Amino acid sequence: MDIIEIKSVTKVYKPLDFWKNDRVVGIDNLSLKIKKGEVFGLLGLNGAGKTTLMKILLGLLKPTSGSVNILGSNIEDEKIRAKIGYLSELPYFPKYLKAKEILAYFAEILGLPENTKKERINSVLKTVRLTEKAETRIKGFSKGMQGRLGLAQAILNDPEILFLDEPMSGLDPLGYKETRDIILDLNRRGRTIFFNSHILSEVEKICNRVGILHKGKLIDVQPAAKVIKKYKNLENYFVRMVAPGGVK
Amino acid sequence: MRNILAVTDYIFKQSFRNRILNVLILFAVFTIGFSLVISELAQEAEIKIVMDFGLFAIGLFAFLTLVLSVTVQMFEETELKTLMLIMVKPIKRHEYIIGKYMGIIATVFMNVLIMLCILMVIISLRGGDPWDIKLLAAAGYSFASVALLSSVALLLSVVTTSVPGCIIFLVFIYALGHLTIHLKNLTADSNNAVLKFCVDVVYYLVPNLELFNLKDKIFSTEALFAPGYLGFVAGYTLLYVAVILTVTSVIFKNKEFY
Amino acid sequence: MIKKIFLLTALITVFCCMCWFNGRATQMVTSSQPRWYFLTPHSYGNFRHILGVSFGFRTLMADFDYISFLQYYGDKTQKADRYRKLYGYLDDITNADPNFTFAYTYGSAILAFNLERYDEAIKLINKGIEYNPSFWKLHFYLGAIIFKQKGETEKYIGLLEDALKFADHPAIIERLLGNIYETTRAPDFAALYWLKTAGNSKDGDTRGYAYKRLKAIVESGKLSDPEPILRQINGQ
Repeated sequence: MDIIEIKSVTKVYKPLDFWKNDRVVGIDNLSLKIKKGEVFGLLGLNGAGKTTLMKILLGLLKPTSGSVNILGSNIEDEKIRAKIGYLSELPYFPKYLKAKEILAYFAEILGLPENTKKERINSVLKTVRLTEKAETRIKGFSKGMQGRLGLAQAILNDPEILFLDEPMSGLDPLGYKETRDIILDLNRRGRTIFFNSHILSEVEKICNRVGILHKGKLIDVQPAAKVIKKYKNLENYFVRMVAPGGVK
Repeated sequence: MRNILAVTDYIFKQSFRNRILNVLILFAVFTIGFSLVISELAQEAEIKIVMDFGLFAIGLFAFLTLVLSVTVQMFEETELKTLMLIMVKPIKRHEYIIGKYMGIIATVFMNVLIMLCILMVIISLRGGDPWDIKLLAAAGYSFASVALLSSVALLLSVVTTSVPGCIIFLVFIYALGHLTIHLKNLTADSNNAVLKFCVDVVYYLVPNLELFNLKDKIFSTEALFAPGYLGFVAGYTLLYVAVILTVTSVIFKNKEFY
Repeated sequence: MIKKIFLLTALITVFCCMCWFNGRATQMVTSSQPRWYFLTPHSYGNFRHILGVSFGFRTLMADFDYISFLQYYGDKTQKADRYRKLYGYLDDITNADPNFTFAYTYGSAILAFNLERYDEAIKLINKGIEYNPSFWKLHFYLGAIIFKQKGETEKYIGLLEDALKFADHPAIIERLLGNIYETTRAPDFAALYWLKTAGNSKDGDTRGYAYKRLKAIVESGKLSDPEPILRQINGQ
């Protein structure tokens, strides 16, 4: 079953120039299907359009043409949004609020039942190793701790699909491992994960399938195992695909 | 409603705990306290000067609280991109706008309440009547004018991504809002239809803040403190806020987050 | 589509209602506020007043003008020039805040009874009456000034004595009346008045002034029976 279905999506950014000479194509006629239970890694250079694609999937940007289906419906439907989780790159939270207050706010919006809300917040705080910092204001948080809190809010509703934009940014090596464990645990429980990353070694350890986005075009999609078998590691594959003169 | 209240609580805590805002409240308290010193210079008109200065400080600091709250919110939403994490959650965009509006006016209300309490203490120290209904009405309508301006600030924060631009425009509207009634009066006898039309457009679109300015009439013997007038102004506030928040919600619904 | 049309219709309806409310409230302001309320090309020559109107703190500007006026009146070097600019100061204050009734009573009392500039005093008090028609005390002050101008001493003394019965009278009335008593009444009467004022005035400066005048009368030796007054001074 396809849990995410992208059909011929194109995104052209609004021109800033008065004469409209600066039309930038962010995503160019992209189609992709992702199956339930998959961990899909989207790779690409800076400015390739990875974040743009993720924002289109999340409804934060509207495609210029084409369509997106998430869980068989439109992302604008609140019921669908209640089933997804999202972590942006280097998430930031208001510095005068406490970690627990932020999670309580998200839990309220996610509509978590009152009787299990507290329990769920404590549980995710434990998962991301922030139990001891639950009553601390964000002001005293390191970048890595904010990243972990970002992950906590993303998994608060035990989402069907988890969208992660550079989830390893700002984390230390231990943080990498913990994030990886959380992703793999969710995947074991049948959840689908779609993520962007620059850290190819981590992508290699987590993904079932990888895709390469280059200049707004999805130039290749392969099962991770097949890529590793053919190119030894993801790095070789990635360089071959995007380097000038590489496979197009 | 649950979502709206959650956003209100979040925005209120975020603004009210902000260190700069706390300093602003402290400064407001000192300013109102300063009216005691100034009134020493005003032989036999001490209470009038305490009231005028105190109400001026309440109006000014309520407006500054709004400016600061909007600045903090806009900076975090646009520069630090906190809004994206919220917008992907199951919340309708108009719910977020209404919640945010209520959060901002709750912050302003708390500040006005603190300042009014201090002013009432000073007035009673000076031998005046701190429970004078005119004083309470003037402070209440100062708050109402900022509540109305808050909706405009929210609209500006949605249509522009530039924080300084939004603040400059807000200050401009604050000044223009006090002048529309004068502009309307100046052109009342004019024969120039184009000029009259232009003034009418400004008069109906820009908030008519002079209607709320009861502090300039507090010592008048023919004051506008009748329930009928206060009712019209309250009705105007509610309808203006409703129109602006609806327009803001429609724009925000179609907004893209780059 | 139907939803959009409904929303647009509702929005336009609410907007029209809002405009109506705005118009009605403005009409109430227009009909109840005097001419001065509105900015005209000829009004508010003072930049601070324009600033006060633009940002809604006109009365505070009037208060600052009042404080400047007090400094000017307190400046003894201006006395030689009979405080030439006094009316200008008062005009400025009352342009910015025409409901500042204290400025009319206080200012006109100084102009009429201290400086004998009756025309300016009457002009000022008439301005006050125009903008505050229901503040009846202004009519009362006008009467006193006119009597003073006509030299009908007993009539204006009677009115000034009545003025003292109201708690919000300017303290200068107490001083003026004492000075008038010194010239029109027996020294014993004036001394008793100053004694009462030195004990009861709400204004500290006036209490000090009353005591000074009392001392001067006692030292002049004009009192027919100084004993009871001296006893009371010592008792106070």
